[in-house]
Amino acid sequence: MNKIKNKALFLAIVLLVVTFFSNDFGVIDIEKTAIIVAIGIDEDESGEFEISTQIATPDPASESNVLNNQTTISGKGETIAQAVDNIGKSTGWYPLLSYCQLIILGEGTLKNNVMDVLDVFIRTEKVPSSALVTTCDGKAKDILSSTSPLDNVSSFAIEKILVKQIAKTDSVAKVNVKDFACDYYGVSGCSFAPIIKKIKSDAKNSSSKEGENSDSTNLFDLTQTYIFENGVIKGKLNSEETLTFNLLTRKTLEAYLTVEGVELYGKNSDVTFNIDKFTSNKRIETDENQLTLFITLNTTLSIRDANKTTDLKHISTITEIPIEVLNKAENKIKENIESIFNKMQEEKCDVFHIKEMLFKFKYKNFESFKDEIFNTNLNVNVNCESAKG
Amino acid sequence: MLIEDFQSAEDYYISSFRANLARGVRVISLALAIFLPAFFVAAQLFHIQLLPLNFLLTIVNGIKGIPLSPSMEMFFILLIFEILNETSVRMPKYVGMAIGVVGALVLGETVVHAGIVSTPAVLIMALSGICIYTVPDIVESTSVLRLLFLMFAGSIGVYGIIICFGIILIYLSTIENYGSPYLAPYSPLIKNDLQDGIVMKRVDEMLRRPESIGSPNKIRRKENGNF
Amino acid sequence: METFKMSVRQACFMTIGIITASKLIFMTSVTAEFAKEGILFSILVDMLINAIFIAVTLNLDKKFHGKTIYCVISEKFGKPAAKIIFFILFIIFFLKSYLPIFEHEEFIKKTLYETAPLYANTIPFFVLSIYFSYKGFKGLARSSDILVWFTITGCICLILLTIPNVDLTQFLPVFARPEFILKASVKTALWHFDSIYFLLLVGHIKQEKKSTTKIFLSYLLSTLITLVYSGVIYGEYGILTERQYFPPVQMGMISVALINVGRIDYFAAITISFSQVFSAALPLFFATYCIQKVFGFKNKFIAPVAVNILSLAIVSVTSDYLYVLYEFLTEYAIYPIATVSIVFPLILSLLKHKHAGVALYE
Repeated sequence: MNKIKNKALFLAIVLLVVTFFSNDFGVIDIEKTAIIVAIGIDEDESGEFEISTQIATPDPASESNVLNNQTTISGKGETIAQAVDNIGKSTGWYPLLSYCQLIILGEGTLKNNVMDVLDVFIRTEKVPSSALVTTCDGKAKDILSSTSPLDNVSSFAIEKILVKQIAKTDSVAKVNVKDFACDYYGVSGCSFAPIIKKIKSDAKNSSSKEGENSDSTNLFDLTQTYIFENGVIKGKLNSEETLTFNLLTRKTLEAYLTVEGVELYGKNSDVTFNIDKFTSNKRIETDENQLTLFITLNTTLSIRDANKTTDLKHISTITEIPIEVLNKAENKIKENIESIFNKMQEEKCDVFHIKEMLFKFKYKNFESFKDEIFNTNLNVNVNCESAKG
Repeated sequence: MLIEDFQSAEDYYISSFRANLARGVRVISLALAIFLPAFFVAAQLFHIQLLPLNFLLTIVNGIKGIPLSPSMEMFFILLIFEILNETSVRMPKYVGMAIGVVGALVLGETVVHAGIVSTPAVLIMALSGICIYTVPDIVESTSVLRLLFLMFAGSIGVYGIIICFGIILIYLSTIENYGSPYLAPYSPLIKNDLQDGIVMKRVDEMLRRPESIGSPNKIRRKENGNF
Repeated sequence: METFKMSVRQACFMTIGIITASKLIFMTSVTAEFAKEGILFSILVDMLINAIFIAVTLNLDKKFHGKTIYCVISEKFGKPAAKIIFFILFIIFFLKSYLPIFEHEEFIKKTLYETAPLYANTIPFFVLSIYFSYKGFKGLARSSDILVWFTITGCICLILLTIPNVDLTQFLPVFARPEFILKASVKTALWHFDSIYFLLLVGHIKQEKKSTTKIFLSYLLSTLITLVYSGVIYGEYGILTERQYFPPVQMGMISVALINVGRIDYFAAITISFSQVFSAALPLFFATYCIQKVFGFKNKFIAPVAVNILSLAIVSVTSDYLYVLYEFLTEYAIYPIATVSIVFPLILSLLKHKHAGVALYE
């Protein structure tokens, strides 16, 4: 028995050494891997997809490792997976999607059901479902190819706007693959995605070297939002509506609200408020065969800035705000909510997820009211208080 | 028992906080010594997604032009390290300094500049080499295990590490030295003996002798420091 | 003769560490597909039924005064009958082993590797399984002492990463569609029937005070961990849960920590997959025990090698037919498995047993 054991052990060691030195078990050479950090998807009229991928490559001239280069490679195919495959075939690089954190949908993909494009990212485990979904006017390829003063890599500049500090002011409605799919497959079927708009800037890219041709760089504006019903675009929310939408649906850390034409201490000013605390509550009631959506907002405001100066004693964030000014702010918020609600009814897009609330909280009445959600009444109650120091 | 290799005589003379910190460092060092080269090779070869993006780019930058595959590279550095180790034990004292210079500068730095191995690999192996000596009693076993895990990781990746670790765990948990389970007091869990495990109590709180050793007199001391 | 007896604590750790790990991969997504928002009730129903039969099975230990089931059946009905019953048990454990092995292999292949051939992952698993089965109850008991901490650490890490993204309204409406809950309980029953393991542990656990209560409570703790784990996944993904086949690498993905630091959730996933290796090997361990009782090989290596090589062969041949196999196991194999894990302990508990002396057969 010992002899058999010894022989078996010897054989196992030989096998292990051979396997180790052969290195041939599904190994992908790290140097031949295209690390994709962003994907742009465009669709032409014939239905063929063009994928533009932003590849992260380190700058060998730089002592630090960080990305100093951006490489955008495109591929075409009948499906997105085929297009990504074709990138691999044409470049010889294995496309690694595990680091893809941004998906930009070009205008061409928004004409039909957007889920036709996005479902590949749910099907595969290789793309993280935390990847951010955005749309753009025009081609996604142009967005990815543009340079930005915010970062050497345009997709990183966009991600900064979506994910980091700016996002905490709630002016951008960020959504990832998981949330988009959950909304699409949910009871309401309504989802949203921010729109990337390029703004030409004179600021130069800080890492551009002297003598290099410095094309004008671009800043990005993501404050507008497309709303979708079952994957089809139904409408667009402007910047103020996007802010209000975010306040209603997310926890707010800090937000700014600008109200125009406010009578502030005897002067007609445009005032920017700091929204310090914000609580919102949505509920539906089914009374007398009528569905009513109740939205209650309680917020604490302080004046961040006004375009006309006032007396010294009023220049403070803790000064009591006059009631008329607070009323103006309340009306502004209320107008935005009503504007979104009107869009919801006109475009038949359940932005407030009324159907979902009906399913979850009033299941007994779900069958009776599920086809009547666009006839819902709205009851908005906004309370603004002055921040006290 | 394995835990005795982590215990040091001075642990009983210094503050228990410091002793616990030292033991924690020993355990972490042993884990780093055995697993770090293996995980590094496995991540480079099979599981690129495990690495954070910036670190991955450092590695990509570092391995450009390196002729060896990551597993061969790590094996090569390990071989150099073992040769240096063996030489330092066998060589006469008066050439010790020269060998140290040759080892560190020539083999360490020059081989990186020559582009034969990458800097991250040298760093990983150097860290592993230092960590191995935090638990000097089991240096021999640890160096063999390090090689074994490297072989498994280079062949089949993290799953190889998991399987190898599983087999070793089953083996260690079933062996006994003179009737004492090797992994006591953790396997089997002996509550009394945990007083002097990785996290030790103060010496004056250790009232009972270890049960895994099987001494006839179970009481070490009475409370309030009396014998 | 197997003289080693595991302590009650080790049996509890086996329940929490190894048995819980078998429910952390596919089970949540399959349950969510059928039960939808009633996922927690569905899991609770299955596990409570199991808990009751575990208690019935554990009481056999007291009833038979520490004798094994093989010994009791041999004394009552003779050795040939015992061998026939144990051969049937071998087939049951063999059938029960499919799903955990497939789950485990798919999890490793799809989440940790970009491309990998089948044998690179499958053969090493069976090497470990052979060694695990060879070491017997001593290996199982002592490993459980360590594995429980891996399972608990992995689960806690993943749950903590996921909790900030949980939306409790995903579980509404509560109990609105009970038919979905019952359907899901039937469809996911394969992941349960854990009382079958305790049936063969009878006689291998030291007789201690309140041993039944302690092991029962440990199973309830395992139920709680499974419920919280599945709950946070459904709270995060909602309707999309039925597509999250590999939750350990998917549930913590949205966490802010990962965006800043990197994929630290992979370490929790690796920890869980370490426990999963043993939970996938557990049915083969008991299958080996059964076949060893049937044939009584003198060389202890023969039974583990034979059982695992047979399993490897079948897994290799049927690797592309997971869904077909799952349907087969759910529709047909579930009845014999249910019979052994539910009916058999009840029959045994009705047997009269007076002798409290030395076991004649081991």
